[in-house]
Amino acid sequence: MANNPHAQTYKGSTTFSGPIKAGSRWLDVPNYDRTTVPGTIAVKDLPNAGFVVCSQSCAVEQKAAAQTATDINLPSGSMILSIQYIVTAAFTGTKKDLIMYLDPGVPDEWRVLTPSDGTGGGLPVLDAVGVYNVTPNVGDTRHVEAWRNISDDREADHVEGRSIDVRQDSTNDGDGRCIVTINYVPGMDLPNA
Amino acid sequence: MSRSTFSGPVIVGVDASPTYQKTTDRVEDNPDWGFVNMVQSAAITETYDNRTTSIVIPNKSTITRVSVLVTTAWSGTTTLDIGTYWGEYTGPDVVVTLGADKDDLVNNLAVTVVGMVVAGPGDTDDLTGSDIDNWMRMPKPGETYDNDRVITYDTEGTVASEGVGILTVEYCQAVDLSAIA
Repeated sequence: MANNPHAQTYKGSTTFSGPIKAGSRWLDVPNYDRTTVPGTIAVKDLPNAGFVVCSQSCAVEQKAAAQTATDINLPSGSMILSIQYIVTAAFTGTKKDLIMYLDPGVPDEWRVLTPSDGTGGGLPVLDAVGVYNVTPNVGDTRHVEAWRNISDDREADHVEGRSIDVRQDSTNDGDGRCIVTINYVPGMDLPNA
Repeated sequence: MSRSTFSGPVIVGVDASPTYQKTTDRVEDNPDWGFVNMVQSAAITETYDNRTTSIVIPNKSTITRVSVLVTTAWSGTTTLDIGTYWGEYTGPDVVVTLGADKDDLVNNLAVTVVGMVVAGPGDTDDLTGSDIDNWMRMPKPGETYDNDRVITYDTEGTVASEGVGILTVEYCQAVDLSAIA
């Protein structure tokens, strides 16, 4: 791993335990919880606070070692909005891929955040320098639901309130280098559909 | 998990430069504050009719992204309209007609496969009239009801089926870009 940018001290940094919310109204309607509405309310009087989007980034090298650690650690209950690879050195070898996983702490319970080679569409071939927007594993409900809430309480390894590491895995070693950025909402904690 | 709530908009930067003059100052002296990107999400299902969500977008916000995380694919009519509502609100998933525009933001977004679907040019290039301006400023300039809007969704067609997803709207609160548009 490279130096962890999240551990550095920035000028004028302000850190909250989060999640951070903002809106011109959030406590104006008693007993309002977005699903239970006390009577009828004009839209202009509804609480309108939303969640702040956060991001974490890490530098990765093309390594075949399974589930290699990264610098990204997501808070419990996070919803993932998007994942981006900035490839600064093209990936080489037989496979030019990079798969990202949630690591719940139990080896057999990895949850794939990106398309898994051979099991879905859209796994980008990182054979050129550039920016790649990565989708969840198309057609795989369990892995798509990991984006909705990384702390899905139906998973066998679920522990309430535990942060979850993100790990990387390429099929083979190579010369590839990139920056992985995950945009997420901490503490959204969406319920199961 | 604790929570910090602000009235917003939340703006972050290092240099305020209260004496900034665009034509004369150096770039390194310019103010560098930016708006924090905000997000609200709501569960939706494959039902027909135009229905409310619990998403409430503050007045004059700029919409930065609309997406649907599809966890069960739509199987009947497989496209969604995403619009706004400004009438009396009684809760999420309520059918609304008056005081609503069902394709204020997105028209015919395909939700046929489990995965992440992000609204793009093909879903917004045939919006009615100047509705694209709703992305620049919610609601668009000149609207009679110029205030907050509830986000709505409408599965095209007349038959409900098993589709399930999370509708997410990302925005910058109260930017009001109409001044530079």
